[in-house]
Amino acid sequence: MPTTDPATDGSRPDRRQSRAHRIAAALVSLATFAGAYLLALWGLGAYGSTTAVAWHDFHAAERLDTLVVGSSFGQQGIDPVTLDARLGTRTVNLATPGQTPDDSLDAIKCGVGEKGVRHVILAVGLDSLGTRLDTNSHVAFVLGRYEGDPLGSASSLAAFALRPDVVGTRDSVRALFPWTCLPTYSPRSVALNLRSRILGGDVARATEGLVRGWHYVGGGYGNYDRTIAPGDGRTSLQVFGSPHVDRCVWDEYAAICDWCREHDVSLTVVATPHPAYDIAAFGDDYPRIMGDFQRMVQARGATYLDLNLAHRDCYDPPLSDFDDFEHLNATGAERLTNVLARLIGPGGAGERDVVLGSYDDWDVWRREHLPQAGDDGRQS
Amino acid sequence: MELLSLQFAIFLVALLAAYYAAGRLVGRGQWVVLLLGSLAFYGMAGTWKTLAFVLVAGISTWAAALAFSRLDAGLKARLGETRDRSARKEAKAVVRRRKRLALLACLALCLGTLAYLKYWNVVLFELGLASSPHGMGLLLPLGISFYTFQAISYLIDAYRGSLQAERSLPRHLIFLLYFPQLIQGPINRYGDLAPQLFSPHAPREVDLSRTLQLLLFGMLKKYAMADLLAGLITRLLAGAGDGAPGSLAIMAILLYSAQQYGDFSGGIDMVEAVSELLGIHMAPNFRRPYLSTSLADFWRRWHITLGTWMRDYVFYPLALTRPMRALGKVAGRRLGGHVGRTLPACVANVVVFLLVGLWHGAEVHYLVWGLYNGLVIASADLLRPAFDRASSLLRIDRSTRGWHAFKVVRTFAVVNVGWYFDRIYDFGASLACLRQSVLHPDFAGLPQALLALGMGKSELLQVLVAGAVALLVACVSLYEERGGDARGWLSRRPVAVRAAACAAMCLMVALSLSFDVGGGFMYANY
Repeated sequence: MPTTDPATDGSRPDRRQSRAHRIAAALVSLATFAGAYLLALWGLGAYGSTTAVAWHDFHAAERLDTLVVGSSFGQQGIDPVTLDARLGTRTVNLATPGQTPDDSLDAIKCGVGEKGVRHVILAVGLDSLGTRLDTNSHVAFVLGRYEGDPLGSASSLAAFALRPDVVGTRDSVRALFPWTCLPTYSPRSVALNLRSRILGGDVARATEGLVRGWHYVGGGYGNYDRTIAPGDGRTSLQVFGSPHVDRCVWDEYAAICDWCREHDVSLTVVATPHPAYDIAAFGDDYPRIMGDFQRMVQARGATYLDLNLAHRDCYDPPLSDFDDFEHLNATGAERLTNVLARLIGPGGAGERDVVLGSYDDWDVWRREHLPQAGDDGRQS
Repeated sequence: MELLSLQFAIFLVALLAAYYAAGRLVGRGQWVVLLLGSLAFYGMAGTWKTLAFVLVAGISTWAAALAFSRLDAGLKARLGETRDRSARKEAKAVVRRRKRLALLACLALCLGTLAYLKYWNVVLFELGLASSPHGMGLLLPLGISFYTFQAISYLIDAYRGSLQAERSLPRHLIFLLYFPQLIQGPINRYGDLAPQLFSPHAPREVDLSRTLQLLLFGMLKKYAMADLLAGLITRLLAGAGDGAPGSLAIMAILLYSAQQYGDFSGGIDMVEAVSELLGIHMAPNFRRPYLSTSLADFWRRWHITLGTWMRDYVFYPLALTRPMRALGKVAGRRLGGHVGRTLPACVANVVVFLLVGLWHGAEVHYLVWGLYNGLVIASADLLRPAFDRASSLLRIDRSTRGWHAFKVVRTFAVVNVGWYFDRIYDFGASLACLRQSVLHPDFAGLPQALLALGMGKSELLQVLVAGAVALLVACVSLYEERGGDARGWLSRRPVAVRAAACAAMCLMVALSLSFDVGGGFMYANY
């Protein structure tokens, strides 16, 4: 019976060679994909962002007294440097664009747990009550929160991608490619990203290089110097549609109030100012919805301040204080923060009734704030 | 659940693992895994609430096909028992009558359900009996047209005796519910798909490199071309029409060509690749349609499975009916042999394209679009002798490359005129845009009109990315049109080159996601 020597028939070495070839091919493919992934992450993902600056300053602080959270209303509305100068506190502004109440609560828990925060300022607006999850904002928030902790960041992004309302959408893929949520496209920006990552550049300076018109002030805060364009008659109502209240979002705000009360953290909810014509455009929806919100917040032990209700002789921001129809610019934020410091500082409780009006008599507000224009007054 | 989602990736990996494990352990039971997986997909990508409609189509066509088979078997037995010619004739007539009755009842049920769910709202709205075309809030079952067309093709083939009726209902259901075809086709035939569904498959059958390339190429077309153009097209068309340069509408429609091709063929590439991972090759649905040399050729290359379905179940049955043949004879006597031969086919073509228009929607602009295509194809057939004479008079050499290129460009223009009626949802507006495009194209005014749109840097970048992908798609199409195999070419390159090409495609798709634009597939839920 003829026998075949396994060493000479060629089948085994061939199979072994083929397996080795496949393994090598898989390794080369993996290395190529990993390289491309990292290159995109470092080059195309913005090294600096306003969210990254806020978290960077938060992580850098040893102890904090006050934390500002909320969406862009807070990010562009409250100047922590001015607040600290007026009240002698240590504050970081952790409000970030599109921040959801869930993320705000996460930020509060971080602040209280890691930095000993005892006072929280939560900035809101009518549109905040219907704002649901925005993937870009959340991913930026996670990347900032887990700065220097790639594992924490990866697990948080994976948990986000697996959320029932996200896992079936393309946002679940975007969360795995986080640079797609904070992209930069121009060759100059890509070069800046790579240089900053390699040399460990300053986040605030990098952000100033990437975000046009934005300037760093301090305490996690920066703002724009630009002013609302003359004749820009757009309103929140036109751009975002009729206001609506999302019950889930409402409940998340209630959860923030409850958590703060249970942990002896003083909570001040601040509705930041809009130009009067923008508030007027909401019609009676504004006092109705915000009045309900005020009652819910106060019932849970928080202080509620709507600066849109301020009497004009106490606080009357000119149009030049605004960046657009809903956000303040650097000058406007400084002016607002000075007023806010009066209202939340020692003796502030007494001042509030003097400075702020009420939702109950909206006609009085209209007469005071729109003396010449009609009810749907526009910027002239 | 979107195809580009973590949920689908997890679903697919779990399904592949279960599918190949079943193949290794049990051997022939893999189709059961596919059925369970397809049901799970139906629930995740659509909604369980509409599963009853699929079951109605599945059970009715399964039962009708079995009935045909039993009637035929009974007839065969009776014919064997008697030699009496009149009794045999009578028995055949009875069976034919019963089969036809069952066929018509089943067709009425399947097409009636499709028509009710797709058009009832629109009909009520047009009659002024509903406040909106979607007023009743009827849920369209996932892939309703595609599984209905497949069910009907199975039914008619069984009626004609060209396939063996499936005895097992679950096996029939997997033919209808096979998940890669559910979103937007292709419309597979039982004879092609069933043998693959029910035969064992092993992972070694899958050419992973080619499949991955197809998947990524499809994603590139959908996400980095079609999705990036959608917003711009809407903005361009919003500014087009009376008073605006016609070139604005021309640009919008040209971009729409790319968008629609990228969306539909990209999606098909993706599901074909997913199916190939399971060792199952579905029917091809596109063959470089924009390199067609006539409109008829275009429709043999675009949505191929719908075209062949219409050909086999509408065109031929209609063109070969007695009245049509009579029409041909009359026309032949009065207008000549060519007209007599082609007129029945021309009428059938117009009817087919009207139906295709109706399939897109019951709105007027879709019907006009269908009619336009049918009339152009019918006219081209009827006037062929005149064209032949004209070209010989002009001494045009039709074998040259130049003539071929001319025909491709001419067909592209004809197809794009049709897109005006397809994409612009108001018939009057589409006519206005078409008029402006022809009479006042004003290409010099185009830059000014584009500037007036106020496109940001991000939008310009989107157009650049989409343009780069469109160029790549054009190069691949030209290469394949000349007989090349692009996937094969890349598969023969060193592994580093292949990996780099796939990584580059991944990056382009990810880059397109960063713009956060686009949506589902255009032909989903048709």
